[in-house]
Amino acid sequence: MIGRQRSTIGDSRWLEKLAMILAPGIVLVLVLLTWQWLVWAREIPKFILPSPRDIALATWSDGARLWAATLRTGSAAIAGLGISVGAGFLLASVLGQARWIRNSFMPYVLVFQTIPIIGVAPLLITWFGNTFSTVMLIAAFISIFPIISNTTTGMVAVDSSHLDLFHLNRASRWQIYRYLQVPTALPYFSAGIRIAAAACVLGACVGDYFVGTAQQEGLGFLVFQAKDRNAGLMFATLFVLTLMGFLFYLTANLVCRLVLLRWEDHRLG
Amino acid sequence: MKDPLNHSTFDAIVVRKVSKHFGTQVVLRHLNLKIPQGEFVCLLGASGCGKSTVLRLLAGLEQPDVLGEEDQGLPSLELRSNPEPVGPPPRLGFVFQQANLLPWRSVRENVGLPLRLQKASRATRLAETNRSLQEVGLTLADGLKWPRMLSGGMQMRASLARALVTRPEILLLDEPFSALDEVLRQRLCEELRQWHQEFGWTTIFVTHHVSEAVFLADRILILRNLAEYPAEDSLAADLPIEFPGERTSELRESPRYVEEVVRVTKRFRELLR
Repeated sequence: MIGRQRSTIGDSRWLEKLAMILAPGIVLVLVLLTWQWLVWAREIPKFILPSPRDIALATWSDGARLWAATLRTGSAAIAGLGISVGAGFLLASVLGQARWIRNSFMPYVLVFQTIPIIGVAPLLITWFGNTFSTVMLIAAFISIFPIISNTTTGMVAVDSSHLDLFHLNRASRWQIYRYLQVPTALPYFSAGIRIAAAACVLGACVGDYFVGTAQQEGLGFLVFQAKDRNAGLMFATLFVLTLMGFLFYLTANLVCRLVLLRWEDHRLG
Repeated sequence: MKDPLNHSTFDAIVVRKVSKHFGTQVVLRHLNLKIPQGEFVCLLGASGCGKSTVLRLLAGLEQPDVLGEEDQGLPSLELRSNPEPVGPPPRLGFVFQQANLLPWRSVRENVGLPLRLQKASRATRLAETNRSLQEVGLTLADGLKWPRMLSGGMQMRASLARALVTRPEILLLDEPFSALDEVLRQRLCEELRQWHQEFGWTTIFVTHHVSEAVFLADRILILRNLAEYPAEDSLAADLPIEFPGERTSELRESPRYVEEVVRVTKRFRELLR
């Protein structure tokens, strides 16, 4: 009897797990079917709302073009994220060294953040031309602030009793930075990376929109191009962009989790 | 094995006319102390009387006040490792109220941290860390764990091991066992007194438990809370504690120990308003 009950409980858990995995898929299928039916039943024109079938067809026929644009935007986003992670960490390390440095420079960092990207993009094009570098810099521009801000907070969140321990052993400034400030800041830094990972895709897309040409088109440019002529392709591009942002976030999340295994009881919520 | 009493040939800690204030609050006034090498001194006092400040001043974590013209004489904090006034400063060990271990480093790395900061070689660091872990009753396997995997008592042992890894001549302990339960606290006190007997450190132990102080100390110093006695100096009483034989758990049951606890408690209460 007891054995039977156990197996029943085990079964229901297994079913629950299966349902958890399947449920989002079922929702997706239902949404797509409803969408397809609505477009068909109401005879909505293609240029206003293409049906899922139209989008799938456009993806198939323009697959190579879409793939090339994805690679271009993806690599610009990765390079931009790389720049913002590296430069953001270095800047936060400097800001974390003294209150007077933070007081002197933090207002300008904040002002820098409020400059609208719409204004900066044409300026960057003037300086660097319609190139991959410009797209990459726009992605970095958008994603660097959460890294600077989070990491600086972490650099100064050092526990005062830990600091006493280091002063007691006459630690140098470099030792305090390396053995205390950097490890304390890591959970904050990784929270910044997670936000930046999603932001850099947005940055690369905006960059493509401004910089893109028929010879070098990224996803941002493709959306703009397909707007009037190929609504199916525009929607397909939007889906790819969404998926890319999500994948960037998931990857950043996974990497941060692996790095922060040591901080189990110390991690940010 | 050293007998601290035979080594009391010079004063390892000499404090003269030291005062300290934070903002408008005077925490210490004209503190004078002389602690012979190898002596175990307990600092007793109510909360806020500057017990921890004394340790922080001795460790160099705080600076004493610069005295005004009305305070003539030389205020000074002197720590010595030998009878001569010249020579290297003594090695210090400091145990905090909390275990204060870095959560991102293994227990062994935490214990070896002072040596890493002093740029000791890897071989020295490993050897001294293992020695220190074993001295406080932790195994090498405990050393490989993360601090969060240890119980409160074991974390405090790791914290002690970290203080002992540099082979200190002076050991400063700031209410180290206050977060532990009574039984564990008594056991660690017994072990601490044994280690003191063995290594002969000059020790200052801050506590607000009279029974703990009587068990551990060769001498108890009671500090005044200057918020209640604004015109007085900090040191209120200097009480020697002597027991024949070693300080083991049996001592707590002896009438002599109970008498001493009563005597010190009485004196302590007289000084508290």
